[in-house]
Amino acid sequence: MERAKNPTVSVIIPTYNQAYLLASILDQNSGKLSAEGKTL
Amino acid sequence: MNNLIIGAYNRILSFIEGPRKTKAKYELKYWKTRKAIEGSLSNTHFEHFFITHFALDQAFLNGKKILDIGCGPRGSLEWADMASQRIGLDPLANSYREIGTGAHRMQYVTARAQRIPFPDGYFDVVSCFNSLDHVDDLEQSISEIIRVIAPGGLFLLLTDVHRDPAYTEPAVFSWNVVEEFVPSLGLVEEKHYEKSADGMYQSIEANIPYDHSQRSPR
Repeated sequence: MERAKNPTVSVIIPTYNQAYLLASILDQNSGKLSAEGKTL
Repeated sequence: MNNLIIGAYNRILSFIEGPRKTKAKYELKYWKTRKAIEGSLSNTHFEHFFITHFALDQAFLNGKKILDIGCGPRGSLEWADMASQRIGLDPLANSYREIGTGAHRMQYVTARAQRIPFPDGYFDVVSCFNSLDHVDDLEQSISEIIRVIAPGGLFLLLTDVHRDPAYTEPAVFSWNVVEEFVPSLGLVEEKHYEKSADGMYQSIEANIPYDHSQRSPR
């Protein structure tokens, strides 16, 4: 599986014949930081 | 006070109709409202998140089978002309036809994530964008997602965590949701973000890494 544009992960070679996960996760609570006047 | 009244109304409605029907009603109402606001439902951000955010090579998707879990009615895979199959899975797919999904260049399948009507290892790429917290049975849905991804395939997860449960988003989980997929799936990349805008996509696009060293309440 080849990935473009991401300088940290350019080529991933499947080793164990398994599938892969890429996750981007957002904390929904951290919006309260700005509501409290803290700097994000 | 209004929230108390609305909450009580929802509980009564759910008791009378059953939680699934209430959930479906609110989901459909949400999308009809979005369509009224937007005119036509835009979907250009999906290509951006597949290709730019997750840094997939367009050529990698040539001839691949793609499944989008909890796809909604925007036409989330219309951009993926290079795929051999592009399927959006959503329990409300039939209902979404009334807001225009019949014109989309993709196939919709009416089903829940907890019971995906495809054989083991059928899909090369499975995505779940802002929908994992909508599922009724998180454990079973994760099991099904893992089941339908082919060896060497890819699962792309965009989700938020620490949200209060709602009728449309009953599943509650934290950072460790990723551990539920591993080691069945090999973890290539995991990024955590601070909330900085109203929408999930907008916050992730703002690209403010979550500071786990900052332990004060968010």
